[in-house]
Amino acid sequence: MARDNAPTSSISPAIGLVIAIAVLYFARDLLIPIAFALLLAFLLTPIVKRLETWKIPRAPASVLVLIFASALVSVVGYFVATQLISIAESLPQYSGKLSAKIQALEGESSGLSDFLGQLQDMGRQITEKKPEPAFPGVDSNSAQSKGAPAPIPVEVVEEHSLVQAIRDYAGTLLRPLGTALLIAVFTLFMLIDRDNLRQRLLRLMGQQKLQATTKAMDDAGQRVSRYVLLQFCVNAGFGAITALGLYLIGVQSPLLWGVLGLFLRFLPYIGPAIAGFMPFAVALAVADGWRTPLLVVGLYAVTELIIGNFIEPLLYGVHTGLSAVAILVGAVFWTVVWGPIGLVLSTPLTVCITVLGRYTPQLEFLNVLLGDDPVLTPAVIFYQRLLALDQQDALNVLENLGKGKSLMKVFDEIVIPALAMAERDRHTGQLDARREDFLVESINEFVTELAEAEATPMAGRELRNTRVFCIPAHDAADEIAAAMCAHFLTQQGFPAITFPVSDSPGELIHNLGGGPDDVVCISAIPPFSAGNAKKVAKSILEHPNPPRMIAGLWTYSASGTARPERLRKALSATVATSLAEAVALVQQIEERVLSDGPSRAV
Amino acid sequence: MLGASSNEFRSTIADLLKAGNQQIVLNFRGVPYADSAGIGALAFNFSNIKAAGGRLVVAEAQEAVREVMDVTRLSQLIPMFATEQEAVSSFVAN
Repeated sequence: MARDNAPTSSISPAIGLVIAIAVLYFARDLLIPIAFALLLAFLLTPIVKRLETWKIPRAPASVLVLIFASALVSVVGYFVATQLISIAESLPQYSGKLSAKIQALEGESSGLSDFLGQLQDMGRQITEKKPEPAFPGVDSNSAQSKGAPAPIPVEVVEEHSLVQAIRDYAGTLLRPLGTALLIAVFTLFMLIDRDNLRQRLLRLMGQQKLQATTKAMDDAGQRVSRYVLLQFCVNAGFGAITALGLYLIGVQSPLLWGVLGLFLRFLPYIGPAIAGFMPFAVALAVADGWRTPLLVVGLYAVTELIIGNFIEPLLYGVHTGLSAVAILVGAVFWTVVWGPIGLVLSTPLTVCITVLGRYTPQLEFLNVLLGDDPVLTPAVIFYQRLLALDQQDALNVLENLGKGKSLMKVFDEIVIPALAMAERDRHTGQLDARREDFLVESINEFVTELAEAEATPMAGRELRNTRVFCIPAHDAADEIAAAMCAHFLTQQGFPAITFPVSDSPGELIHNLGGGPDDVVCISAIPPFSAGNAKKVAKSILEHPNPPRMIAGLWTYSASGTARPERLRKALSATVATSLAEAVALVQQIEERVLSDGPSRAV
Repeated sequence: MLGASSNEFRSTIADLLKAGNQQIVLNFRGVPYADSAGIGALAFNFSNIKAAGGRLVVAEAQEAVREVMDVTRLSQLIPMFATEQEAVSSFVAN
């Protein structure tokens, strides 16, 4: 029976981070193949899964996929290598053109050329070594001048045995081969045993965190898989465009440069530059004049600018959840820790770390720093602009944040929460009177302007019978929210009236002849919204034949299933926590009245 | 009509009541439209005047304002007159 005995760490996040970086650095020989294998597993798992749906067992499917991938890499590698060798061999015949271009450059910048020449001479003089005496302490020149025979220098040369030679060559060749084999074995293991690995990881994290760990693994898997797939597609596009461009320009071996571009572009930032440098060098050597090399530079620069600034942000911003800064910081970090291979792995690894931060409360700072989720809610951003006493900017922010949303959503999700924040700060003494007045007046203006812009003429609406009295529970913020509610009710054809704050709301409703055919909507913003709403409800119930009541406890979060029922009883009103809910409730009440006749039950 | 405008309207009526003016005519000649808050402010003041034993009438309400007062049934509580003169005369008649 599995027990939940996952260790609960008491290490602070900062110390944990330092330990993690140290482990990453010192265990890099082991971790790099694992990370590479993980990346390959992400890439190949969908193909294995597809083969499994064709009734091929997982183990043979994994072996097949890995063999196919290795063969593909080998074929591409062979193609690239032979092509590069062929180009390297043909380059000497173009040395004349290259020399002419260099001379032309030197002729145009003879001053610079002279200066560089002087620097080179100076360097040569500094680094030029005086011949050392064959025997320390004996000056050979003075010995010769005295007629003594000059000592013969003897150098002991170690004889290279065959075993030594094999060891030297094998050491150079076997190391990368061994790493490649290790990566292949890890990848195969991950492909075949992925369920078991997942279960072990879940067990390691503890059963209490089962949900969070599952979500984190799925999230990381999806993001990394999407990233690798998208990166491959984007790079393939980059390779295809540059190959076509090079073909049109007339550069030798355009297909080779396209394939190289595809793979080199996996290196963030420097990959496209390296990919572009090689055809540029060939064009420089082969072509007459400067037109072709410059066209090559232009082709790579324009393609990379378009892909890097328009296509990639559009695709990766959504799919990896990393900010642009995070990708840059990740590239630097992983290059420092793991060298060039770290640069290749940087984005997927940073994605995994960000996901870890997303689902682990202690590491949340990683998600805040690296992720692309908005760190402030729209309501907080809007409220912050109002606190800065910048009305125009606040309105701009509201319009930008509200793009694509209905006015009701803008009020429900941005304006009312901002009002609630202002009320909370006012009650805790953090909002001074000047800011409070500015804030209330500004929001009042925005609400009036936006509501008027959306309002349809009365002639265009279907008029309903039920009057709705929107009554603020306590203060100006409640009054603004009441006006918002009345606006949407009016748009639905309800004759809605928004009252100012009143000391005796019951008497007010009574004087207007309010009765069971009408509805009162009490508008209350936290804190103390339930208490304030209760006072208003009590005042209304003191009079005979009171209207039906709903309590708009805006942004109120009820916890537990019994809470809304308890509130309904305490307030003698059904509770709505958003404008949308309030409008729907009023509609329901009218429908019931029309079908059942007037009744106090809501 | 929320916030400062509503408060101003409210305090003007309160001042009139304090000064002993219990018969009040509101001339709506320059009011082309009334939203829910404007109608609320009117209803609120009507209630206060009624509670103080006074009477409120409206004069020269434009079509849009009349329509809103009709659908909210305030026109059944607050008499409306075509001219200010007629509104003032209604107090004499009462």
